[in-house]
Amino acid sequence: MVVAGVEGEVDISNVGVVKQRLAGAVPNTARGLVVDLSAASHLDSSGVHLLFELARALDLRQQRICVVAPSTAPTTRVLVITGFDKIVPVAETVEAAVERIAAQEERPPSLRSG
Amino acid sequence: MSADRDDFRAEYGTAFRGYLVSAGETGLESAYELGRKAVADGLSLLDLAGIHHAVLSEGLAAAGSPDEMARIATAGAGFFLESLAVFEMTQRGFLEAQETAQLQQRHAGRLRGLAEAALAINSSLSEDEMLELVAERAREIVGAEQSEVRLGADDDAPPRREGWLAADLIDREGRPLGLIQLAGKREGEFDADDEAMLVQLAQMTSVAVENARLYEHERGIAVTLQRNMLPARLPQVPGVASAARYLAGGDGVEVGGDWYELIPLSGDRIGVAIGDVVGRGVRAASIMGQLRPALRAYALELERPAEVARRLARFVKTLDEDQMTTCVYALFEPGVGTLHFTNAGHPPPLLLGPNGEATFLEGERSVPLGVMADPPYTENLAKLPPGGTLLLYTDGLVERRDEPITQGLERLRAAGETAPRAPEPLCDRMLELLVEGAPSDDVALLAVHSYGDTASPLRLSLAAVPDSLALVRRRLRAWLERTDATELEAYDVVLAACEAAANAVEHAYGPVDATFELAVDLEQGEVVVSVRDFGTWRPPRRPTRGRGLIVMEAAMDTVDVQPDDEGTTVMLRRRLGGVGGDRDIHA
Repeated sequence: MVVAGVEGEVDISNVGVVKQRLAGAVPNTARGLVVDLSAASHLDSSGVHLLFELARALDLRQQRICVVAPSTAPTTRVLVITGFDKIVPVAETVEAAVERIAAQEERPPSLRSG
Repeated sequence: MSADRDDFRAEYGTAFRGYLVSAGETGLESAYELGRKAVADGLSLLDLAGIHHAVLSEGLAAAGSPDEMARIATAGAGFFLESLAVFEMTQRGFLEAQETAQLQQRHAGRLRGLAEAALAINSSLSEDEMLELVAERAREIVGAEQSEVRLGADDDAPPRREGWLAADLIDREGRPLGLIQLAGKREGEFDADDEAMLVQLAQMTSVAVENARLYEHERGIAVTLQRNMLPARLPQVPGVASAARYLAGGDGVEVGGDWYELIPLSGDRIGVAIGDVVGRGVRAASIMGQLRPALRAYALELERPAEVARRLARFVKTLDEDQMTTCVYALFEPGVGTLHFTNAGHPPPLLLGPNGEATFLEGERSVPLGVMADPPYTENLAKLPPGGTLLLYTDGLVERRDEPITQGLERLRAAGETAPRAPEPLCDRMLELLVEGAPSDDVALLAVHSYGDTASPLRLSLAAVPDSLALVRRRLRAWLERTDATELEAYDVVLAACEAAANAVEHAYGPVDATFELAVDLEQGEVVVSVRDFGTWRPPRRPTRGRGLIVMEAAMDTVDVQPDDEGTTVMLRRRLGGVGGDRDIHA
């Protein structure tokens, strides 16, 4: 399992690069990816779109994803507004996210279309 | 005992032989008598049987022929049966007595159950709780598996279930209140006693329900009266934002005497008042009801607070009652920031500066209104700086039993240092910090906030490229810091502006569309962001476009997208100060 943190601001100017880097960080053998947004200071709909695409790509590879977004962080709100948290698992901390992915071992991952 | 038995045996033998000879009713009568005597003497059935057997054996032994033996045997059976009659009756009687005793016990148990239920019903806190209790007790007292208690009026009557034992709930006027019904009696069928119990329970419940409703109704009237007495909405006045709160104290049945007013005056000035009519109940409320319109009239006509107070004092004195009211009246001029005020015996308003300063409005304190016919009220002057807030309150906020009021005042002042300046969150915070549980006295709050320096409008013309977004965010954040926007409000504005700007960048499609414009203004406490692009509209290329709109709409109060010949303008508005908008997604 890979834990990757996103720091700073994410918008249309760097969304492609961020996605490439995140996807590239996950080897085929990894169980899944934890994307830690706690240090992100700006996240808008382009960032949400990137996360959806990432989740879908991983799903095709039978790999899981969990996003870390503390409920106290302002950046988390955009996940709630767009309904992201209803489709992709979101956790409060990295530890919780890791546990979540590990716990899903028994059932095959499935992703509702977003 | 055996001596008695021997005597009895002898008697039995004599009687039997007599019966054999006469074979008539008299003989049988003596058998009956013997049986009775046996019971009276405490002989058991076994004893009697033994005696009979012995006597019969003797008789049979003395028989001359088989015919005679048969006759003796038959007669013996008849005689014996007769002697048993009393035994049988006694037995039955005993059983009956036992049954009666059991019934009485059960009845006593039920009566006790009813009495306990009555106590419990009367101490129920809510109607729902009471109904649940009644249903439970009904099951217990009657001994049934299922019960149902429902309230409902005529046209809404709860349905009677087939085969259930039911009793109506009826109010004092004979109108139906509801129904209580039972099913599944544990032992046997429902009987008249069960029905009687249920009816009793229904009667008790009806009384309790009716009483509770009457109380609620009265209380509802009191609360409505109170609510109608005080302005539900404060008038929107340019230059300030305001908020008010009213917390009824005590048991809330009696109307209280706290009041407040916000009066728009000529030249954008504002009259602000708060007061406390001494006493409670309808008297205090009626004084308050007359006082407020008088205050408005005087404020509009006279303006100078000392004058207003003087005239109001005279007015209160003319009201029949021996009534007093405390009062603060202040005249505020936004822009200049001056606050002229008079305090008639009321706790000092709190002045919250834009940078965390918290001080009480000091000055000469005069007597409450209604004490003297012509009190010498004086006026004081203070300053409410832009970005600051004036908080008026009644003593319920600062008074606590076993504590000098100075302590409560200091607590209020200290809380004011870190409290938000925006009026709604300020009121919430003050109530949260200073009111513990249910207040014993009413608490009224009125907060008046003077808008901060209107930060000069932001105007940016930027290249329609993705890298411009970071610049937009930076400049907008800096601009917002000069306003009253909270951290969360600022975040939302930046988020929405960024979405709009990203759209503008995406619209660009060539050298002609190379720039977009951003304008941000603060208008009367409302942030207005306008993003204009010069690109030709194209159908959304990516699904992100739809999401961007959702985000903008959630973060701002209103979103307006206006396409025209030259491009598109997106206008975003967000009122600051925690007022309005859809906020459930925010922490």
